[in-house]
Amino acid sequence: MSAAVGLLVTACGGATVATTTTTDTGHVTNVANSQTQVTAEELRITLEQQLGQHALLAIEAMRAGVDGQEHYDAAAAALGKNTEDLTESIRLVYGDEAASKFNTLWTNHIGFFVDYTTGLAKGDKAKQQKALKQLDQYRQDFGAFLEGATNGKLTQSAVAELLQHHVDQLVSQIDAYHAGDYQRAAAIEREAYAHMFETAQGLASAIVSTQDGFAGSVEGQAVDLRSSLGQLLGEHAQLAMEAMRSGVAGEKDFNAIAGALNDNTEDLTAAMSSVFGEEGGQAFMKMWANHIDFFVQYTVGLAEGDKAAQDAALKRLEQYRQDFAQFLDTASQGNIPSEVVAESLQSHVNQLVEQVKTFHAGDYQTAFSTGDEAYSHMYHTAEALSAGIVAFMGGEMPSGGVETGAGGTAK
Amino acid sequence: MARRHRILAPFVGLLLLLTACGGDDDQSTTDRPGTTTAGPSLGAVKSYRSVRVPESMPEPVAVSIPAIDVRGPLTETGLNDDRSLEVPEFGELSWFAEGAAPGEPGPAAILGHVDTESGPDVFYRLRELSTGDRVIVTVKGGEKLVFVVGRVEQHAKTRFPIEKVWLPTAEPELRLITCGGEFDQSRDSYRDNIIAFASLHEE
Repeated sequence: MSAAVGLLVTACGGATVATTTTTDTGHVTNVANSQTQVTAEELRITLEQQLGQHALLAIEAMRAGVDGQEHYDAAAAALGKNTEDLTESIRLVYGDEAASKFNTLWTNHIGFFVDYTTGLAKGDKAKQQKALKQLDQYRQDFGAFLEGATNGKLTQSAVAELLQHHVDQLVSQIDAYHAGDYQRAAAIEREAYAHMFETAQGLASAIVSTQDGFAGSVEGQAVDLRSSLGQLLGEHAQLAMEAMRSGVAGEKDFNAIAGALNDNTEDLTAAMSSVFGEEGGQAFMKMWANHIDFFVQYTVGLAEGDKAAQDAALKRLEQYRQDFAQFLDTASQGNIPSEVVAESLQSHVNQLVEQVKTFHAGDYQTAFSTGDEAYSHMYHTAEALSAGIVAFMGGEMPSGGVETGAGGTAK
Repeated sequence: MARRHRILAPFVGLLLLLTACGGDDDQSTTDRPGTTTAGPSLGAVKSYRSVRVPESMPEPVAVSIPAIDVRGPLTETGLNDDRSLEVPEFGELSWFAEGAAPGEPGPAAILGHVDTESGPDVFYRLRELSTGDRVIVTVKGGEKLVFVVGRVEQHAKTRFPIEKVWLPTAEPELRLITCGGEFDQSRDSYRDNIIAFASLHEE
């Protein structure tokens, strides 16, 4: 069973595809969804996680490709694994035939990005133009696929427009990267990742409104909170890993990636401030900044072969784990228990350390598979964190309505 | 200001402790540039320090809502001891200062009366807002933040949608709140609240 199906099934208590009822919609044969345990919320979050990861991994693979870096094959394989995860999600909703069609279209569009990158690296304008033309056709084809799948809820033109942003973002970031404008490339990476969340939410809404069996709603404040935290924490893990890899390899884009990581930290801090107040946000930021610094210190120790520096950084990370877990427990008045946070952070620390260690050793495959785990782990963390925040906020929010009228116009 | 002190004593103690691939039509995906290896350059990595100073939004000082001809300075309100919202004075547009500031992630709120005992008040026409209407908040220093109304809802005060209005959001949002619905003469109170939900418009 793939990770994607596993995630949905785990979250929903044992859903399986069991029906063969079909309806021909022209482009895609819909399989009526019988997974009554699969909630609309889980569908949205899963698609956000997978589509967000697609953008991040495509960008990482394109950069490795244009620079001819050794980890290109591993990055491309990780992107391929993400495609399989997405395919399983499509299969769960629409069945085998649609999954196969999706997989072909999706795989091809990745190939077009690779071709563009290759053309860029070699200065082959014709190859770049051909790839862009193929991406243009892909937008139309994929739009038709989704229009059929969603019974017209998502129109071909709307999907094609969403994809235009995706194509523009991925192309412009690699253009900037290749030109040495790493800051612009990093800024576009954040936009490209965020764009996938809009896409995922729209897709989840369309699926839920045209397929039976998804309990609940894809929208709502609590779902939005979980989604936002997943987005920010997933991005944190990815950018931290990119910075560590860039740092340990002495790449020129380190400062730009670290800058994007800072922007992510500011966004996370703002989100935490809206829960725990300004002082809480400041305390969060200080600890969060420390733990990023400790990862960077570990990375420097690794690059220099300084075992003592690595051990010292790991010791600081261990202390951070305890302190941060206690912070969230205290700030949330026990609604985010310290033992839950400490356990989650242990995985986070282990994964980030392992991925840079293996990357440095040239075991890129393990580095990227561990990176996949680290990214996914953040979405579980976001689920636990958002549930704790909702529970905590229950006692913090203003109660009831407000008396803002004396009746002078009604009496 | 209250919103700066939401976390109380236990938290301050803690703070002190902590100061320390696929292919195209001709399947050419294996066609890629040759491998290169970057030379080690650890200077930037060694000197890196993560950002530690949060951005803070200046406090709001005025609001204007052209669609319903509302404009004026902002006062501030907070919470009563029972966690109910403090009621602004008649004629005032009031920022709920224990929540987010407009422009910060989270739900900021501006309250105003629908009427006084003798006639319409500042938010008399709030119910007329519709999707796409703009709300412009001016903050200290003169920056203007443009929010766009997404929807306007009416809810019984007894079933006020607390989570929908107040749960944290990762993006800056704004709620405009007043009274509406039927006026209950026996309780001298409107039965409902009108709530306009708006999001920050990013250029």
